[in-house]
Amino acid sequence: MKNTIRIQRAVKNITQAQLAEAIGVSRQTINTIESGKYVPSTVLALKMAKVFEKSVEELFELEEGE
Amino acid sequence: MKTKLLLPRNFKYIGLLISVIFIGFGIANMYFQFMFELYTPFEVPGIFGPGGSRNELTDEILGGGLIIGLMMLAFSREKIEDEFVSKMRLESLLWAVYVNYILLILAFFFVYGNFFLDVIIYNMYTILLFFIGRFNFLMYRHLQTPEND
Repeated sequence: MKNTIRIQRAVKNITQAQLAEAIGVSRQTINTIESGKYVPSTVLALKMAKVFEKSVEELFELEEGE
Repeated sequence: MKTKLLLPRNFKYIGLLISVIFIGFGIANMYFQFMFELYTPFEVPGIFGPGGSRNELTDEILGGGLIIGLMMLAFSREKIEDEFVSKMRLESLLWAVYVNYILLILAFFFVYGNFFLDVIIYNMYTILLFFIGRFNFLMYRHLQTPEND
């Protein structure tokens, strides 16, 4: 699964730590999500979408073959 | 991720203290015949064994205390207990069960006689010890993740 969180963060100009704080996880967890090592739960995905004021589909995208 | 099954964070430190003390007393008891010399005030009825005597309480206190200490250490909340931490917790538990029982199977084959009794005694605690080791290792690595902006 691909994600655009790093880009969305750059657009909104917020750090990993600020995003983490806003959705109640650790900064390190944001890092694992951005690097694609961890796929977050639906609840967390929705919370991130809310922060960025985007739809979940704009943040996460299935890769070919998934 | 809200789970009610974890203990408050401070229990981790209390658990660590209890575990270290009880492991020390436990080794003293197993290998150096250390006893508290505390006896039950009455004759203990034997449910599965002969019973009918006042029971010395060292092994009860040490055995029970160590389990309680290790469980506090293992199952207290992390500073930020998010869903990734829960995932590491679950995977560590699975890892600990695998390792614990693989080692026990090996011990069935390769350890005999009185030594096997020691294996059984250790095996009561190793599942928790393996979990604590694995989970804290993963947690340590997770927290080392560099800032990446």
